[in-house]
Amino acid sequence: MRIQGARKVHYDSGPNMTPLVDVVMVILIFLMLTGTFTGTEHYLVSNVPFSKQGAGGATPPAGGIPEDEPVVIRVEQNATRDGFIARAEKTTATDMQTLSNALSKLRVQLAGTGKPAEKVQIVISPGRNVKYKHLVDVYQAALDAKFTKVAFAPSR
Amino acid sequence: MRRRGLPESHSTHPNVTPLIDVVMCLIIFFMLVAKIGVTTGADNTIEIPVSVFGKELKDLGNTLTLNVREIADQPFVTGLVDGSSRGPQELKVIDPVTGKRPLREVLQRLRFGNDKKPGGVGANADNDSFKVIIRGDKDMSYKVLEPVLVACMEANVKDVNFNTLKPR
Repeated sequence: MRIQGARKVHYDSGPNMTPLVDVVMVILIFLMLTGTFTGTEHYLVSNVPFSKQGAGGATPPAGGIPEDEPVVIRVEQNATRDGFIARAEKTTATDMQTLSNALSKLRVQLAGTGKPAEKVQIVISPGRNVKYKHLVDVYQAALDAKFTKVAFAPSR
Repeated sequence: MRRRGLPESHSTHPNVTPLIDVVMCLIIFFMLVAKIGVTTGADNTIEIPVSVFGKELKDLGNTLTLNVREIADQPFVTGLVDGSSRGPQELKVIDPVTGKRPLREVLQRLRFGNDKKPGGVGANADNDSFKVIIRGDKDMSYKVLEPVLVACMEANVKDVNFNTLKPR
């Protein structure tokens, strides 16, 4: 009795995709590890980075706001802790927020005298030993107060 | 008549075609957004200060990144001046031996062309949109940064940007 063997049913499964998947996975892992697409850095932009004009010594007029002179922020290194002491007009500040609030008030006062913020030159006059990170904080305080023209003066 | 049931038409292996489609999409995404092999000469060992405010610079092509740190109370400045070199080169503010000012000369050349003077055409043409990026160590003192700013001023480079970190 002839037993007919079952017919082998062969399905065409196409090309073997396993190596392709392996290669693609390796490429994907490579790109995930080497690429950086979220920037962690940015820039403080300055159009006039250095002002030849120093801190000056002129006394302000009776109103306390020198209308035709740049606004000078004197910065010294805090001797008691890792910080700065900034003096602008009649205000002394040791942190960025306090300085920013003071500069904002100054901006409003200057705007009231017909001098908008974009026409005011902020000059940061640091001492020689003031750390760069504190100057960045002072710079940010000026930007936070909506001043756009910020420059550094020669060291004192 | 004996009826034979049709054999089950399924494969014993999972269908990997959708997996490959998804993975290809991911690869294309990472290839488009990743930045690989782009060097600006930035020294990543320098700890730059953190700032809340800052802007993104979209065009970094016409820029020179200056890495500034303080060594023995003196500025140590490096920058990738020649694109063919492997890494940033030292740019002395003042060469104590010759008395020359290499940093200022490099800035003038990049700003004003090979003649280092305003005006000119061709290789001597001015580069008005030239930008400098200062990447300074957060603990360096102003006396170290000041000469770099002076050199930028003397080279009439007004577009100076300070590289800072975004807060976490």
